[in-house]
Amino acid sequence: MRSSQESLATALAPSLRLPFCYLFAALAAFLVLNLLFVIERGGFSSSFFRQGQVMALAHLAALGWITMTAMGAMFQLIPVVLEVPLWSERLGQVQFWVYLVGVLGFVGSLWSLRFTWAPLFAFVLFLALSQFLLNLGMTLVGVRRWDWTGYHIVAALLYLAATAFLGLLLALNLGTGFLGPQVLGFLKGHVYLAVWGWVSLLIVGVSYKLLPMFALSHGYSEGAGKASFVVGNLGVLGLFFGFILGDGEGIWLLASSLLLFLAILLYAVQTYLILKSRRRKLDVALYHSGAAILYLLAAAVLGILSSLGLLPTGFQFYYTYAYLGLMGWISLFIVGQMYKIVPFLAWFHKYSHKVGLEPVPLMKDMFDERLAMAQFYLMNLGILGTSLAFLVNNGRAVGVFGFLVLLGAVIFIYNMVTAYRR
Amino acid sequence: MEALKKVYDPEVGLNIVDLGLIYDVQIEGGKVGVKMTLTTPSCPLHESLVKGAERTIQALPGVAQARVELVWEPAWNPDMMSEEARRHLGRG
Ligand code: HEM
Repeated sequence: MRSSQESLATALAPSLRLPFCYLFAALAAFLVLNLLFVIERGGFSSSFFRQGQVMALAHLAALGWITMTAMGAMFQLIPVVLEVPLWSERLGQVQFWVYLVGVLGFVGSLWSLRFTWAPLFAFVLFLALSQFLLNLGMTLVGVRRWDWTGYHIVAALLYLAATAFLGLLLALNLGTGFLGPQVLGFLKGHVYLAVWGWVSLLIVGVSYKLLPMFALSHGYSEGAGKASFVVGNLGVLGLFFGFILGDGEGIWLLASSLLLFLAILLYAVQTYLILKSRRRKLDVALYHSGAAILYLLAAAVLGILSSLGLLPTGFQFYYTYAYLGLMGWISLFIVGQMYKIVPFLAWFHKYSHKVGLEPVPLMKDMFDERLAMAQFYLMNLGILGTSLAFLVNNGRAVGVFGFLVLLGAVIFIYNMVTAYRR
Repeated sequence: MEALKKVYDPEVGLNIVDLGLIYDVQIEGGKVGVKMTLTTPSCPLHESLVKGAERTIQALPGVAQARVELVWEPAWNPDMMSEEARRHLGRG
């Protein structure tokens, strides 16, 4: 009995190197992203968003920071959470380099406006993501006990496949224009599948495991979360087909937007229930998650107001919307969870085998918690300010508040490096 | 039991006894058998805590053999924490 338990745990977790490659590359991307954001601030206010530098920043965030972290964390967490070993650690290691070349090349060609190069690197990205999907797919085949987190993960991976395929088409279109006027529909479809389908469903699914675990929550009902999953999938698929097949107007899109809005509300209710039944004070990670969900709600309200035609159209609004989604919701959530994942991995590696033999540090001793809270407030000030600055189209204010976020990012990365070395 | 209070759940910052993770301790001569659980089956700290408990007992004088068994029935819930643990966490 005991020996089988032990070998299970040992066999399941991959080596430290695999997740850390991804996580530290992602941290580097986050830093560069925030730096370029401050440098580029003027460019946002003067132009339409389908522009080289903006697309480059969007993908440095989406692929270099967000998807990179997601992959590193999944290699580490899926085996533990779903109780299956990773199919191939080697493939994960090879994929890292292919993916890195893809991200650097793709973002570089967009940033420098060398659009003829973009399809080539888009193809490299497509290759790397296919390796990832193969690896995870083969891993998931071995899962014996499915739960709602598992369903979320499978759905997210399917959306990632579709996102990558659409991304490839869009990149080919950059050089050739073969999609014609339909390109806007494809672009919107790509963005919704990526942001809600892939990233958000993953975060949502994983948060149903991690939030109760960290908050020691028990005995809450799970209905809202399950309903959110069903309604959200209908909403995002509705939006996707509406954009691809139609011209982006009409009752169909409105209905789909309402479904997505409802899904977000239900998710917020579910996390509220989880946090309400907690048996612990909120810590750094939970503060980040809570704030992230508030930004998600803010983005959802903007989105639904726009679908109802209650907001003026204009690129300022799109920027605010995208920024709230990518920085407020997704990035803040990731930053919070990194405060759990990186110290845990470092602790596990260094101290796990010393438990019971000598005193070992606690997880929260792995970094300076007060510094982390300072970073939390700084980043929130920056994110709120930047969102408002976009709304009133003030490039200088975007730069100033963007700088606060950059400072926050520096502190955050400092904390991660400390945790890694302690 | 007192000795096991030296084994901390590094995430929560509490020892495994006050957290209510130790269900049963049986002592027969030099053999010690412990039944313990974890707060959730997908707890990534699995190995560290179980082995940590085992090493701790093994190191006690007069213990020849320590066996820690991980059990999931009954499932842990926060009411199993001690008074002290609840006070420490700040939310009973
Ligand atoms: C193989 C991977 C991917 C490729 C090749 C790719 C390619 C592209 C291209 C070429 C565009 C611009 C289309 C146009 O305006 O003509 C675009 C837009 C966009 N993509 Fe991706 N994409 C990929 C993955 C992702 C992922 C995973 C995300 C999010 C998590 C994402 C988020 C976005 C966003 C937000 C935009 C709109 C930005 C803007 O128009 O400035 N993409 N993508």
